[in-house]
Amino acid sequence: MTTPFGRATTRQRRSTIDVAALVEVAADLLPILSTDTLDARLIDPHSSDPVITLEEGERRLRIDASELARAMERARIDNSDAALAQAITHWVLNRAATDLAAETSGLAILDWTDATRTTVCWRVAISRGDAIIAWTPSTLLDTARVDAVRAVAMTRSQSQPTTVIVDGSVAVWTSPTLALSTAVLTDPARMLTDMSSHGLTIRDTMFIVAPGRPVAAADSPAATRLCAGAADTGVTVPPHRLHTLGWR
Amino acid sequence: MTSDNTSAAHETVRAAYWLNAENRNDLADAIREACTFTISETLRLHLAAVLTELGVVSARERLWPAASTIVRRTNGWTDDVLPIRMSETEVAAALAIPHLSTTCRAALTGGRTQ
Repeated sequence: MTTPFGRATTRQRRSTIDVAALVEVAADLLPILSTDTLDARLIDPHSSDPVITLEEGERRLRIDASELARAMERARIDNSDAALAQAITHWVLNRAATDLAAETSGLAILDWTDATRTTVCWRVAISRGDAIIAWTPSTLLDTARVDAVRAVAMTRSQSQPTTVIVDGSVAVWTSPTLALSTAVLTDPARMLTDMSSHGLTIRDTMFIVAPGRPVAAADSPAATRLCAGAADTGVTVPPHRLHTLGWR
Repeated sequence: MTSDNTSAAHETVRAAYWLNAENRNDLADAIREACTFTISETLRLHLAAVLTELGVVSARERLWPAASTIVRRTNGWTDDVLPIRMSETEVAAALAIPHLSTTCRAALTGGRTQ
């Protein structure tokens, strides 16, 4: 199970995190994790309950060390220095994406519309280390600016590198960063060209989409069959509907 | 939007038959050959469904490899052993092919192959 702090590092149902140990690790680590845009710091390190703040662009996150420790306990993070350092690093890397980051490096990908995982929608996402962060527009941006960020992300996604393989009666596209594979769906015409240049000619093409996984294309019966036997959820989307999907 | 959750929508119960690449090729060849003869339309439809399944299984593995990887590791099977998901009717249609190879028939009746 993944958590805001990465994978659980203890098998106990709930760990016990020593707040003082957490503060000590954070004091060493936060300056290293800070960047040109991110100010990660510990406020009042010698008080009874110091505060950790992450400030980047318009985003502000402020949390008591004791509250962070409790969240790590629920996530079954071990109390060792190494586990705490790993958890803090994961948490900082997975912080919210700023409007500026979305504007300058955002990619359009498909994501689940909600937790029911029955429909998909477009999202702007950024890469940060190994993490892929879906962007939620701040309230500072008006609708026109949000639309502009999304349009640029769509264009940027169209030039992302992708590998296509034809396997049986199905074509499969994979990005070097697996979680970004759905970016290829920003250019369905290119995908149809990919298929024909690999000798796969299909009438009634359907794309098989499972956010975070490679993207497949097959004719409608094969696409239905592919999803029906899947160990996890996927949806089918016809090419002409891709650009009518909503944004989140 | 017209996307549909086909995993949930499809009510046919299909069991996994673990076939290696050779078994899958044998089965596909046998089905294609059987379809050149005069057979009932119902049998032809079931065999076509099995052929469709054989055509998508590798791609399904590329999209969702985790679950079958665990099964292969647990059983010590090689990477080319993949789960072919078929209904009882589809398996019966495949087994009705007289010239189906012995190894393929054994894989379908034994529930797994290596």
